[in-house]
Amino acid sequence: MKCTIPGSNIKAFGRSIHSLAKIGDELYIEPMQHGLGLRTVNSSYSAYACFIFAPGFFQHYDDGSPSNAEATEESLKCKVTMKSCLTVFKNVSSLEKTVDKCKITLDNKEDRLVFQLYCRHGIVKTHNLSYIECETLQAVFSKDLCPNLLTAQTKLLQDAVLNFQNNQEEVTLTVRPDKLTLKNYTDDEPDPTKVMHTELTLDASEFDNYQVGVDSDITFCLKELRAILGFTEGCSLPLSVHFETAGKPVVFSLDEGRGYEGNFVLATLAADDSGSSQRSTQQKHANPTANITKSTSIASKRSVNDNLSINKRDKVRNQGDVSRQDSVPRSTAKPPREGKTNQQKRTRSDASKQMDVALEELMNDDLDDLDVGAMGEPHRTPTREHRDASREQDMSSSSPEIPLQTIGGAIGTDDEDVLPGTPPSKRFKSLFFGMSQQSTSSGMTSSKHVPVVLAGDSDSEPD
Amino acid sequence: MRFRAKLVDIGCIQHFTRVVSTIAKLVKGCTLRLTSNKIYFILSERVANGGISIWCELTQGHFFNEYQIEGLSEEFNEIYLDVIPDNLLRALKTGQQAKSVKIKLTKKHTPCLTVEVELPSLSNHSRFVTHDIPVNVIPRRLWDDFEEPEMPDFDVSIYMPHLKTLRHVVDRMKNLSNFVVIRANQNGEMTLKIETDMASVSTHFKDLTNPDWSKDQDQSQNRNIQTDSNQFIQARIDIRKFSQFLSGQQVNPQKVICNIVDNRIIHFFVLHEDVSLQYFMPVIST
Repeated sequence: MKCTIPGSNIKAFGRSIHSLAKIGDELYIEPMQHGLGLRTVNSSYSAYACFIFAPGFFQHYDDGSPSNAEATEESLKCKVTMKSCLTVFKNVSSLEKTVDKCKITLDNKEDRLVFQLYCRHGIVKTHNLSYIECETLQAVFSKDLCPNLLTAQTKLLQDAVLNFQNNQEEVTLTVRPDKLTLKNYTDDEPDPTKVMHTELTLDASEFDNYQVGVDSDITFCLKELRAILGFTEGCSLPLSVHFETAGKPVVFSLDEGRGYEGNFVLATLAADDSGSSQRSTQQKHANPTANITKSTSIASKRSVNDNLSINKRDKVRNQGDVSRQDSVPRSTAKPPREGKTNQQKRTRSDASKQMDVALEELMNDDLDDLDVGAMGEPHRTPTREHRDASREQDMSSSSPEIPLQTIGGAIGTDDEDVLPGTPPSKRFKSLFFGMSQQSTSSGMTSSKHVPVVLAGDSDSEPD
Repeated sequence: MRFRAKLVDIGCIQHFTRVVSTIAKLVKGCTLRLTSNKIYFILSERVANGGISIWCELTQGHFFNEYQIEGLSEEFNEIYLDVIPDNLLRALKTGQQAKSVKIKLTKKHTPCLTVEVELPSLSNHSRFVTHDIPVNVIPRRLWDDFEEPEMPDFDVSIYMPHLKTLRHVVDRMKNLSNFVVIRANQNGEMTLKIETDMASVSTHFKDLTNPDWSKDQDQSQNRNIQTDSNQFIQARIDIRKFSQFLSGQQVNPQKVICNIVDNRIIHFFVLHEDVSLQYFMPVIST
């Protein structure tokens, strides 16, 4: 992979890294045909952020894959520590003035990711970063199907967020057809009567686009929202907020138009337990066909996942069928778990497979199949139809996240079955569902693996 | 008990915020006393906790466009609240560009001082931000704890040099010692001094003025003022608290008077337009 960022765009690129740095500790870099992807996920897997810089953003862009379109997977993906990358773009404001262009090279011979900053007066600063090869980091979300869409200038949200204390962890966003309120979330405070409550009301007319399909209250972390808003510091860009109901992720997206797009997916706090039990019921009754249809894309991805560490792409394809069969019983009643090791993923209990669905998609190797926004369209539509058919009680066709719900349900089940009355006080529906919450499940020892796998880059678990 | 007040002028909002900010920098929690024409921030620490007292009073008419109070009763038309000034400050800070700020006493999940900020917006609807600051209503029987401290019969009274200058000096001294000795005389001289085993550092200020108390105070008040204008009166105080006091001043006061009772107490009197702040610091003996 080789690309050159012109001086005029370097600020946006640098700021994107600063913004991602506020979320995660590792930066996943993936050159794709349609652009360079920078992604990160936070340590608790409750926030995911992704920027895709289109080839047009660069002076020169070569994703490094052979011209053969089939071989997109061959392009090298890697992750670097956020810290090392931050040092390259340390002082964003001066970058624009001093740097004429920035050349990024992924050198797989030397195993280095090289940033070369061509500065004024012929100075060239070269940063050689060591990287770890990994698979794609991909959260599954489909912002296009969310019933609620708000678009506002970031200035509006910045002004709104300013009203909250810097140490405020979470905010609750409540939408009604005519107005929006932001409240500080204080339920987890030791003594709620001692806490200051702040509430901000914004009129619908302040938004460029205010489309509310369902009234909802969602609670998410303010820190990540600040990270997003930090990206647009100084200038005001239109930011879209896509969301549904409590427990479903909220997606903040900066749209294309400037040669890049950014998507931030934040977990929202789960609604009360009745909500999650409902979800788990839905999940139990999920029609296998739905999963099968999905699995065509998922299964291959999953096997890629399973085998990535040994890098055998042909094996991946061969295993496609096996995995697909696997996924059929995924939603039938849970049999006792017979296999256990990570290496033998296929022998996992169904429960763990349910987790797998999500993580397969999460770690989805094939970005064109399931990606953010428009890119995911081909697959999403059939998926949705099947789901609708399979889950009558789910009236909202607007919840396309099978994996998420599946996992959400599984977590909910865990909590209810195993720890009645002792749920963690604060439960974020993790996007990637890792998290401590499942660890206590007795019937699902396999769930212990889940965080491993999820976190997982196959390089960390030698297969 | 009812209380509602409204600030409209942006200058007033900012000024009020600065006063609250000064208080917030000095104390964690204090008592807010509301009367029909004045607002007080009061702190009287027990000796065990340092023995500092603060008395800050402002005339409501200079700040508020609307001001309604219904106190405990006709006889005691006052309200005493325990409040965390930092919370109040944070609430007011969101109103720095506000069209109006309303402050009222409300009964929410707990008694609250509700700060309602009306912010300008892009559309023709205003943005509203409400902050509910939990407060504690102080019952009548405890009111007597919050009486205005008497101005001590000081031995010397002097206008302090510019606080910024003092702050620079004190911040350096702070690194060397935990205590500072403030000395002053009636001849416009003031000295800040620290002493450690290793060093003795002092800063001398000259040509300061001494306020003339004889006109507006009865004789008994200043009978202690030394006849010998060159004799120094001193007080040894906690340098951290002193530094906090100096750096906490957000209003950039016109006059700061320092009154010292020899080896007993030091009393700072900050006067700025419609605000007065008294800060009492006990002497720490060696």
